[in-house]
Amino acid sequence: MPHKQYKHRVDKWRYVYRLGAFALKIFIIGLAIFILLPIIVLALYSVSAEWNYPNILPQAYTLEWYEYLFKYEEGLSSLILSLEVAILSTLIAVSVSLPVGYILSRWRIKGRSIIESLFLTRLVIPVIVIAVGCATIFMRIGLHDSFLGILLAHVANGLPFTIWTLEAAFESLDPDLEAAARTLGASPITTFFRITLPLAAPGIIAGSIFMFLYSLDEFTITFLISGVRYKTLPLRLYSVLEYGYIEPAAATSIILLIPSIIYLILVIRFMKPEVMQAGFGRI
Amino acid sequence: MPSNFPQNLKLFLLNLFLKLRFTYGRFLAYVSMIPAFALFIAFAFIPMVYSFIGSFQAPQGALYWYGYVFSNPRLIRDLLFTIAVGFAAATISFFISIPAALILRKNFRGKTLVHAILMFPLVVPELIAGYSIWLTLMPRGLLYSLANYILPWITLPELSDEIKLIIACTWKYFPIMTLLTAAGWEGIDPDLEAAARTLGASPITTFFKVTLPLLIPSLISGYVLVVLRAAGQFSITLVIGGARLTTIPIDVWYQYNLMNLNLAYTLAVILTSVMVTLVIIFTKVLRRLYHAP
Repeated sequence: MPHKQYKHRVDKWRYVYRLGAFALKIFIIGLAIFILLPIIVLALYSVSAEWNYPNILPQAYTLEWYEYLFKYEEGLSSLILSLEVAILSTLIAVSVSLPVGYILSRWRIKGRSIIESLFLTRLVIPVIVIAVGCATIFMRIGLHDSFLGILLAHVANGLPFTIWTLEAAFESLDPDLEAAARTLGASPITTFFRITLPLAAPGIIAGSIFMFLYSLDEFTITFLISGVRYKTLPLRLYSVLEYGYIEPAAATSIILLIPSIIYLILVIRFMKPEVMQAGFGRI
Repeated sequence: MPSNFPQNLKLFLLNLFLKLRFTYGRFLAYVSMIPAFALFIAFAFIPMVYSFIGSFQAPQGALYWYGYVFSNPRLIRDLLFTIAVGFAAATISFFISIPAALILRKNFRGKTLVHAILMFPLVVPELIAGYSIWLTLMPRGLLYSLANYILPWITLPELSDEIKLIIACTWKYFPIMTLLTAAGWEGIDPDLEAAARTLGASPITTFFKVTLPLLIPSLISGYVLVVLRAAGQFSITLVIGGARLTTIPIDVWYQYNLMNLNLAYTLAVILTSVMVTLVIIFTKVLRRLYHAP
């Protein structure tokens, strides 16, 4: 009886499936612990007053390390510098890459593969290579350890990611909507500003936040092109942890992590998966 | 002069106007792309080219610095170690990614939370990722306290910096592979697996003969990305090992600080070319193995 045979096969595998589901559950719990444990340790260190070896939790808690960071002028000035650079570079990068993202997503242009492989070099080549090249060039042209130098390096190196995100955002729009606007008599520029931009706004916001985070967290290039007069927050973090001050370094890390966590929540709740992948999949 | 002169001229002018508007519009659009390219080329692409050219500049001959690197056993060890870190992190990520992607494929309560947790390492800066792993794994840190609490009769051995580095790289970069694998899995037609099962294949056979070959392209791109990122990163190594744990990026920085610029460029170029070659070979072999497109 073929029917009976089939039933027998299903029964045979049912227990394997249950066991597999159970194993997956254990696996995902273990993985979540693996991911979250280091960050929990960081958060605990940032509020601990005393934490010695056999204790699993700190013996005493304090907020002194956050105060310590803001009380001294250096920490505060680093925070302000980081925010200035991040906001300015986001504005520049997004406005500059809007037309590129749009044209790459809509038009068939000559040399498209050249453009794409040009931006792909940024992915394949280690960041330290760009950093060393940038540092020597900046030293020659006098941009070493200057606000403008940091800004330009951040914009140039975050551009490919912004362009990819914007390209994906424009690609996910229906081209018929623009065609309808054009048919109804709107000029191309009106169409772009009244139809395309508002529809692509979520993707553009995703790209801007991505660029903002990139600039805020950028360490390697900034580390090589500046560091004496202009210290961004990651550089400050590095110099704090270089001296072995564990708790203030943990507090700085937590402050740097807050925007990232907000971004993660925004992305998970509001973004389209294809835009998300363009931002994340290629970093 | 044609006989229907006024009409003809009108048509001609209209044609010219439309043509100009079209070409001019295109032209304006192309011009608007220039700032982005100028910025990228000036401050990201030219530094790469600059390093490449600089590696061939030596008074003793163009290939002097390459000979210097390959006759220096310490630098060769660093190169091999860097590559080993990349491949170790990517291989561990591979074994994490397949079950994690399997979980993301199903619908269940709290899937968004699981998704968010899996994506979390991506938004953590490398510096902080390295630092938090270092804090967790440091001697007499939380890991040892926990081990002491749960299994007091066992003493954990102290982890070497190399193992810490591999753990940190895996922690930071495995989500790239997981997300790519999950996306690839979503693109697979479930009917194919159902057909294999109906034809009498066991679930395990179905996975290895049907699902895995279809997943290979996304697995390859994930693997390659993780290798590239883990072998090319600088800040995680800097935080975990200080200047003692030398990978090629650390060597590049060290030589830059000593103002041995040409040696730094050469090391950087060697690292880049070795990684690109390895990635190409690896991709080709895997594709041939699985007959994937």
